[in-house]
Amino acid sequence: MSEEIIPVETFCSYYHVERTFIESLESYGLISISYKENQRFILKEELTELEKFSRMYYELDINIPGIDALKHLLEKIKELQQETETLRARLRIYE
Amino acid sequence: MAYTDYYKILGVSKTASEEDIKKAYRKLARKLHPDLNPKDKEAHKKFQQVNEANEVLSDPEKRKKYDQYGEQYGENWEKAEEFEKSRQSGAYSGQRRSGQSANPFADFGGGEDFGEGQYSDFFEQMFGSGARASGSRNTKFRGQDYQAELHLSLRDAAKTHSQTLTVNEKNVRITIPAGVEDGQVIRLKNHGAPGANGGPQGDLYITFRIEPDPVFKRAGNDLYITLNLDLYTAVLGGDVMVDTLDGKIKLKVNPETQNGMKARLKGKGFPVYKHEGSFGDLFVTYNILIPKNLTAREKELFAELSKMR
Repeated sequence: MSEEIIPVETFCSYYHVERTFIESLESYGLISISYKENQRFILKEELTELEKFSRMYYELDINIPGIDALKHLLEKIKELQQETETLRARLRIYE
Repeated sequence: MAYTDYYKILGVSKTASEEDIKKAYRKLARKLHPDLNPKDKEAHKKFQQVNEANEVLSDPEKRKKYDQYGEQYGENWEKAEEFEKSRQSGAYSGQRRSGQSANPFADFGGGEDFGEGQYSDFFEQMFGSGARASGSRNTKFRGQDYQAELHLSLRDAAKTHSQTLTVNEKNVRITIPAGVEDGQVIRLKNHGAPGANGGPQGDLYITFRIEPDPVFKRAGNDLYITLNLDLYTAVLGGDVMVDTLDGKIKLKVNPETQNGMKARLKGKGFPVYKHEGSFGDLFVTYNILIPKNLTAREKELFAELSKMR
C-alpha cells in the first residue's frame, strides 16, 4: 500500500511545485488527495495526470480553470479518436 | 549546414524583446504541446522546433551567437565561435611575430600568456559557461517522451506474446497482450529520454499498427469473413468448412440462404484485450456463386425450375 501513494510534500519538493497548486487542483476536482494520519498523499495512478497538469500550469502558463476545461476537451478528443479508429476498422470490412 | 530561422518558427521579428519571445513561445506551446495534441505527430514535430527555437532565443548568450553566426554557419552556428577563434588565433600569432601584440611582454616568453588567454577562453566556452548554466538552474525537467510504432499482423495481435524493440539503441522487451487494437497506445514508464538536473526519465509510447489480414476483417472484438457458397448448398442447405483464427470449423448452412446473409459464430472472433478467455464473434457473410458454363441439360432443368415458380 505504501508504494501506491506519494506524500504531497515529496511530490512538491521533487517537482518544485507549490502546495497551493496541488490544493487548487484538488478543489477543482482534477485530482484526488487521500488523507492518512493528518498527512496528504497523491495516488500513484494520478501521477501521470498530475505531471501533465504541472506542465500545463508551469510551462504553458495555463491557469487552473483552463486546465479544467482542457481536461474535458482532451477526454472528448480521446473518445472521438477511439470512435474514428472503430469506424475506420468497420469501413475496412467493406473495402 | 541548413539554416533554421528560429525567429520565423516563433513568428517574431529579429528585434523582438525577451518578453515578445516568451509570449510567442507560450502561445505556440499552448497550441502544439504534446499534452494537448495526443496522437498528433505533426504537432509533436512542430513543438520540437518551437522548443528548440525558444531554447536559443530565450537565452541572451545563445541568441547573440545565433544572430552572429546562424545564417553563415547554418546548423553548426554553436561551434562557429570556436572555429572563428581558432582562425583568429592563427592570424594573431602572425601579428605577434610582427610586433603588434597588445602585451608588451608577449615577445619575451609571452607564449605562456598567449597560450593561457586562448585556452581559458576556449575552456570557458566548452565547459565553464555550460557548467554555470546547469548549476544555476535547479529546476528538474522530465526527459522527453519517445514515440515508437510496432507493426503486428492480425494473427500476431490475437495471441499474447513477447517482442523486443530497439529504441535509441536500447533493447526493450515487452509482452503484448492478446487483443491489442490498431492505433492503441501503451506507455512504458521511464523508457524515454533521461531527465535534466536529476528530473525523471521520460516515457516510451508505443502505438500498435495492426496490418490488414487477407482473410479476416476486424471491427473491435468481432471478426468478419466472406464465404463463397455454391448455389446448391445455398438453396438446399448443408455443411461447409469455415476459417477461424484457430483453424477450420464446420458450419451448418440453412436451406434457402440468400446472398449477403450473415451467420454469427459466437466466441469465434478476436480475443478481448486483457480479458483472458473472452472472445468476440465471427460473422460469416455468404457470397453465393452462380454456376457458369452450364450444359444443355442443366439449362433445361433450370428452365423447368423457373416454370414452377
